Amino acid sequence: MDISQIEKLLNKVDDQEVPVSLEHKIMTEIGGRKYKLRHRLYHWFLQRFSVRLRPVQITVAIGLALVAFWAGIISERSRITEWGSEMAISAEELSQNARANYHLGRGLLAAGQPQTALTYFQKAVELEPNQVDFAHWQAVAYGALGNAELERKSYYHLIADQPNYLPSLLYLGHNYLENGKYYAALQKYERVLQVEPLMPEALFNVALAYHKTGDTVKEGFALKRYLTAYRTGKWAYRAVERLHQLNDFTYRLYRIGLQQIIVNVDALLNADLSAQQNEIAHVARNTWHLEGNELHIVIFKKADISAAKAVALQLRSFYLQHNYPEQKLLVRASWFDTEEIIETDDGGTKKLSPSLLLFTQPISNDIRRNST
Amino acid sequence: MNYTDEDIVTLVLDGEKEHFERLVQRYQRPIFNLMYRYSGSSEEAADLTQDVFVRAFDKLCLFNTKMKFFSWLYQVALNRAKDWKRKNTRIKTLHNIVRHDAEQLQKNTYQHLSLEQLEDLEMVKKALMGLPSQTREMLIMRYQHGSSVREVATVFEMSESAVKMRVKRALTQLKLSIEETQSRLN
Repeated sequence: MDISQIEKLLNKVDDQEVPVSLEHKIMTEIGGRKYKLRHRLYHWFLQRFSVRLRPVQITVAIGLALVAFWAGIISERSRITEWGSEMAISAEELSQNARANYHLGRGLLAAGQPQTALTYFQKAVELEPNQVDFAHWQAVAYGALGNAELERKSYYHLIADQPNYLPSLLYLGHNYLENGKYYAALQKYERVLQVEPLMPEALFNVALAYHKTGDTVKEGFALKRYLTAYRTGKWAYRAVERLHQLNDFTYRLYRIGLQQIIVNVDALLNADLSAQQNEIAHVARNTWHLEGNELHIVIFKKADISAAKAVALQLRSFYLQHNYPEQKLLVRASWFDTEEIIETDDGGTKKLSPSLLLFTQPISNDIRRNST
Repeated sequence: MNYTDEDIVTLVLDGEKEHFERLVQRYQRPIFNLMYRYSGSSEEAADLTQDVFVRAFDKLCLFNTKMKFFSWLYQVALNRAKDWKRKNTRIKTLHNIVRHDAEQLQKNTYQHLSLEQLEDLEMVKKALMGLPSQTREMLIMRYQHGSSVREVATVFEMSESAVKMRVKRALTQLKLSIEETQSRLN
């Protein structure tokens, strides 16, 4: 057989007949889908403006860009010279404007120039001594310059006049924490939390302060108090991590789709219905939109299969009650009468019972076939 | 009216999605056969084909008419087939290969070919299945679907010279494989 014969026969290789119902199945599935306007606009844009560049074109484009950049620099230099003279005129006015000085100070402090920032804060305080914000930030600048004592005194002075001025209470707590006065820091943070119970810095730093004192029990409570209020962000993940180091698995981190969700496992597994429902509502809010996936709720309870089954089915039922209008997730429940074995951060393993595992996976082909 | 693929895409994106059926009718066979070659199962191939067309529908706004629609669709299908292959176990693949051979014996779609031609075709198909999947698909796209070297190069993200070299070597490999089979039979 020569090559030309093989080429001819390759033309006849596709010999499988397509199932008769396939076209109908495809169009049925497509029937429920819609394009948004942005899709159509994107397609229109793609047709008009997509180009395939050749090397010559790319070189010319880069050359032009460099010329434009150089021309811009020359032009800007001359403009700055003109603008600088305008600045010289308004500086005198600025020197009498307390708020302008305050804002300049804030900007310089954020840019890492505390010494210069302090001169502007001092000017602002001099012009308006009753403005508590100005005095507070002056104190912050002292702290940034390493003068912890002067910083602290400034906060005392402010709080003496305004006992509920939260920024100074909070920063005083930070000052104590940074300087090893942990119980004093705790007192100040708790004072902040009396006024503002959800202040995240105060909540988290209470845990940090207990950690510094070595009180792991109170540290654990404080971390859980933080997680009651906040379940996202790096502090929340650190709180979960630290709890696990303390051998406390009340909260766990689950990868659901592309995100990580922190779940209060104890709330889901205990008998308090309202706690279960609140927690499952949190899971539902963060998962309902995951199209084309199935959520698995897996319960482990050593030597008690019926209890594991009851909890699994109850959680599934609670989840499905959150009837989001476009819920796209299938939910499956499973149960085992064994402990769950998890890997800990130090590379070891831990057995948990009762326990909960949550994960998602793409909807299996069996389900897709049966659903069409 | 005889719509081109690009006309149909425009109509579908304008909201007349019933026209998508024309594209399904035109291309479901090559896509189904591609999926069949990967999965070895009609059922699996049907599911994968459905998935490919649905994905193509969802991503239709990304289709650039500077490329042929079939080439673009084939690229979507190849990626899906590779994903499927990665996720499925060796045991399942072997099982599918056995089923594939059994199903082949029951098919009778070549009544117009002589027995000798049928035998030759069987040898080519067996030799084809022995090639690496990417090379195999390049040959099929080139000879079965009549795609140009440039289109094959676009789909497989290679240079045209690389495609030509690969196709030439694959044909030589097929020839050697078939000659070996023929000498064993003789």
